[in-house]
Amino acid sequence: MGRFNSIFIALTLFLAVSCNWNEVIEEVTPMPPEITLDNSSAVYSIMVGEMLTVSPVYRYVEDAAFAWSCDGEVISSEPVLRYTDSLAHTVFITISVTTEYGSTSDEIRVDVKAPDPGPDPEPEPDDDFWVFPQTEFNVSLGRSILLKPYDIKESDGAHYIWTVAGVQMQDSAEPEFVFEAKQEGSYVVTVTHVNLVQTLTVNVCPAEGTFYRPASASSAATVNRIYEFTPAPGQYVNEDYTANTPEEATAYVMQRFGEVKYVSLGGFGGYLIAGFDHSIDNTGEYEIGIVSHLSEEYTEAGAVWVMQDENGDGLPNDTWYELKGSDTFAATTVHDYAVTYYRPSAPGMAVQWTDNLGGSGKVSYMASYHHQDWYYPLWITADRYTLRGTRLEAHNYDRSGNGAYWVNPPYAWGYVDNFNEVDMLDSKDTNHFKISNAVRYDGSPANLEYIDFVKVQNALNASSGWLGEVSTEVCGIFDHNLQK
Amino acid sequence: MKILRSLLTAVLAMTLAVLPSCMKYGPSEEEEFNVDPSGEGLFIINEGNYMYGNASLSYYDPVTKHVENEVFVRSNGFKLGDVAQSMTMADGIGWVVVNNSGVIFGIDPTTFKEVRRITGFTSPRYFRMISPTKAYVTQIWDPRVFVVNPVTCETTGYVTTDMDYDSGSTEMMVSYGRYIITNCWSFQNRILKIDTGSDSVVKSLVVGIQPESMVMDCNDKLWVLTDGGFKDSDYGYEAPKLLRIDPDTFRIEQSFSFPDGTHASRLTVSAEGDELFWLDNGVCKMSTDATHLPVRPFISREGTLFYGLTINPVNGEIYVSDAVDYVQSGTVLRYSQDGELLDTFNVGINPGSFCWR
Repeated sequence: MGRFNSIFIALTLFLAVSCNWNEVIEEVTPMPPEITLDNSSAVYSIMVGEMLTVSPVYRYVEDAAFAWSCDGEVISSEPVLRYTDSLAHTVFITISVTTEYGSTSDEIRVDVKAPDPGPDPEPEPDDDFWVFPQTEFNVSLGRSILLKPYDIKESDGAHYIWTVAGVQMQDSAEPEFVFEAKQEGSYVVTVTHVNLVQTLTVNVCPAEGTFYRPASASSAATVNRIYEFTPAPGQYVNEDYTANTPEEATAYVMQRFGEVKYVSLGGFGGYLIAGFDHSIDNTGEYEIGIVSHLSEEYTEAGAVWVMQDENGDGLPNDTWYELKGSDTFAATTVHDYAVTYYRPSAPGMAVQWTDNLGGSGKVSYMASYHHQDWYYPLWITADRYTLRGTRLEAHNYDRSGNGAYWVNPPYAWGYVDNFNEVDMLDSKDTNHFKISNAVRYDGSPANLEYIDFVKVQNALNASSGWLGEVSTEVCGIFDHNLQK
Repeated sequence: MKILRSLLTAVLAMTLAVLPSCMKYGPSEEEEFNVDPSGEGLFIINEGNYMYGNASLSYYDPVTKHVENEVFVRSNGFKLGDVAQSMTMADGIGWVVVNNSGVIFGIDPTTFKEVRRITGFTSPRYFRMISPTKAYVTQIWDPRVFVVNPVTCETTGYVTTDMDYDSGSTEMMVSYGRYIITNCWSFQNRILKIDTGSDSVVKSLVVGIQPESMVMDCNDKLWVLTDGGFKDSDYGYEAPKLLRIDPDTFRIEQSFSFPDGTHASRLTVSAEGDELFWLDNGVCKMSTDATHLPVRPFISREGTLFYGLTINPVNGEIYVSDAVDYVQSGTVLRYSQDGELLDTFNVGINPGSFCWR
């Protein structure tokens, strides 16, 4: 009986399998869709307005639903993508294929490029006879201030007539004029050269100390406001931050300082201006600390300038005094050096520059390392801008001799981002500065009792091969008096 | 720009004259640690700054989310040394390789106390246990792989190669049966297959300029990431590549080329071995059966300076270190498998590598 049952069951199973045989063969293999792109890199490149066709090879896509999507929006439901774009940018498009057996997706990148504009033409510097970067001045009673035109094109046989409040004060071949602030008030000053006349305003403010803001127990050692951030173009400018206005730029610096992270000043002349919630006293010792990326082998020296709030309006619109450093009076140092930077005509291009000594060059575009479209600050609306300051002789050279290992030996003392044994004191990341080193236009001591604003400015116009431009990096500024 | 320079200084500095090792053991007070030996634990190896002697070890508990920094000096009373390169767990000991101090410390992973010390190196990079009494140590600027006895802490021999002392170097090590595969990274272009029985190189394969990292996937395929060197290098430059290699035949089966100018590094594999991760302007992820490289990072770096990468073998969470600026203390960012930032914690300077306990 048991044997009979076994045979019966086996026969039944055989028949059952036999009856389903054809059905099994006809079943669709339950495999999820497969996508093989027609470009092995999945990166496509088209010009603006050009049609891109992407034709993947699909498997297991019977009754499949196709969806090409970009930023979450479906842009096509066809197996083949046809795409065009009117903007030069990069887009990411996902192809998703769904069947009853699953869903598969893959992503492509489409680089939409603008027509190559070719290299920028050589920039043409302004042909103005002279330049007045500033036309209004604030100076405390009892001080003097140097007024002068800059970058005079031709000065042979020239003579300059200076007037104050309509009274001629000087007629000389020398273009410079020292204004003595003997009495409070606002003065109209003119300088005339042949038929060119420039009008300036000098406001003689109350004497030093009038607007002094003593530190209190609640005063912060760190900066309480960044007033201006104007870097020169550089490989770290616009990188990992977007600032479309000066306010966004200064907010970026405040945020970075709060995190003690670096802010790059870009190439020569790039600067930032910081202030405190109190005046910093001149004690004759080190009073200002500036944190940066100090490297024994690679200085990226920045000069430091200080200012009193002479007119008491809380803004850095008064007179800057440079804090002398070891090379301030060196023969190789150029004062009033100015570099004009020119906006590139297209993304991914070097920034051209000219200087007031007849030189020119480029801030290289470092495509291998810094991919942002523009090294020219986004928040600067002008197509060219000039940065003026003190230029130190660059020390950088390629130690390896083959371009691989660049070094930039330091200066003796007195600069930001400059490894030295004098002003770092016992710190590894901070240079320290004395207000007593503030000098006037003629190099004599400014004898400031206190200061309210600090400016750090890249003092080097140099480039180190594949490393690109030398750029001062600042991570913070503080009142060293409050940290002693 | 100094940031960019710092990135390559560690490498380039070694191309210069041999510098004296910098090992600043300063006495300090010892603390007692005793972490749960059964739980997960992540060591973060902080390189420190080259020639500053400020390398350190951090320890993170993924369960309690608690981090302890400077655990080596706090536990042992002396500093770790100069440029901590890597750490490997083997036989219940954590082997910390301190490159510019030329030393390997064996530590108890629960107390962080030193239990072994192997010296006699000029520039060690990685440690790999072969057997309880045998381990390999790779060096940069040395054509040999050191054979050491981790019990007696003595060097017992060398695996010799055909490289010279000027440019020879070996780097990471991956086990495959009785073989060790090592990549010759700095100013080199090959991987080597070493028979651990005979301590000899049995195969060599040119893979491209500077194979930087390697992993083995779940299909026993070796993946090698080359960094391509750097532009203006005497050795040349090429776009980085990701290669799949059969470790038996020692042949390249698949090659993916990155765009020119890419800086890919730190190839890592998921616990399951079916997904690859690496750093390239963020964290990139790719299935081992993918037909092309990902077209963008899976995790964007967003203003950070990603430097090290590891995957939690238990839950697949992604840990990325941020060197910030190569100068100040770094941070570690912890992401979910989906790339969602879960939290961050502060560690030491230049956190370059990780080691799971």
